[in-house]
Amino acid sequence: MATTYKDLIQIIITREAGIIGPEKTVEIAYKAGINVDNTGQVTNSHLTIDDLERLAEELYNAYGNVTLIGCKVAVMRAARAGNLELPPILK
Amino acid sequence: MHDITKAIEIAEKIYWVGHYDPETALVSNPYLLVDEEEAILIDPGSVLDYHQVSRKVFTTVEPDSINYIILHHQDPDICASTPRFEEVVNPYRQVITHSRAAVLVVHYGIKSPFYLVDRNDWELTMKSGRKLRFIFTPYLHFPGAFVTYDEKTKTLFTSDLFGGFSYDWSLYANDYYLEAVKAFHENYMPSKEILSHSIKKLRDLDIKMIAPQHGSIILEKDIPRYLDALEDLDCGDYLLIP
Repeated sequence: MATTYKDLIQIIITREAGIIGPEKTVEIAYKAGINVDNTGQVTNSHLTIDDLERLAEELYNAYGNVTLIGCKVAVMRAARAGNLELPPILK
Repeated sequence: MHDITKAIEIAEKIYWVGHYDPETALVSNPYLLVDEEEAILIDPGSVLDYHQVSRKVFTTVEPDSINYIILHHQDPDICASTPRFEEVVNPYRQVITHSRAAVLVVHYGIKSPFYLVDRNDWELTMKSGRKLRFIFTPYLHFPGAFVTYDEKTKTLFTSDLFGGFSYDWSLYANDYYLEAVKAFHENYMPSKEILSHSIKKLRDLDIKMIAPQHGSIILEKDIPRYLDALEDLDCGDYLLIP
């Protein structure tokens, strides 16, 4: 199945649970308009590059560059495999 | 809950003597191994943490009992405080490291004679007969990187291996720590091939506890899961960045 922006966002949500903790991750996701259930799964049905960019910006603004460093490589790898464009903040 | 303002015994006579700064995602974990009248300080840490770390060390052992300081590699967050410790510990102490790191750590002003693991059969026998084994983990993330295995407690001191990025730090790994470890290794370790090579070597050891220099301590029940994850982790992907 083709990689989607929802998949990239899921990678970030899972990764950030380890870096900033699950509660803070859910808070940041909510600010970016992304819903996460209590198992850490993203529940929005359709997400775009704009949602991905907003999530990355919220993380950066709240917790700084390490949060992006910590997920960027995994996101870039998945984006490349799915031939998906990334927002500048994740390049 | 542990009182992290004090040295914490994590295995028999092995102490975490680190300093937790909630503003950093890269918490450093110096350790102190005490064996009868001898002690070994493992990766003493940054000069920024010297005050807190030295207080924990010297409320646990007498300065003169520290006969060795292990430096697993040359990074400043691991060994920049070594010259400060040299001023107060046993004047006959030695610094244990790899020959590749020895040529670099002298630039911190370290003056101790070296005990080079690669020139001493990759092991150290303490006065009591207790053995530490040093396992070469090349390029993780320094060419001369190694880890230290204490045969008595089966504790593996892994330096940067099994370290993690975490603003959600706890002394012992929580349910989410594996993601913090993946984040760190993707950024610091050069390739899947190099990482899996050393992870395979570590599988030969009977490990009860992994004590990394960053992040959280991993207990025995979780160790297979972490070994599996790192053996299979894609890293070295900075080549993806234009």
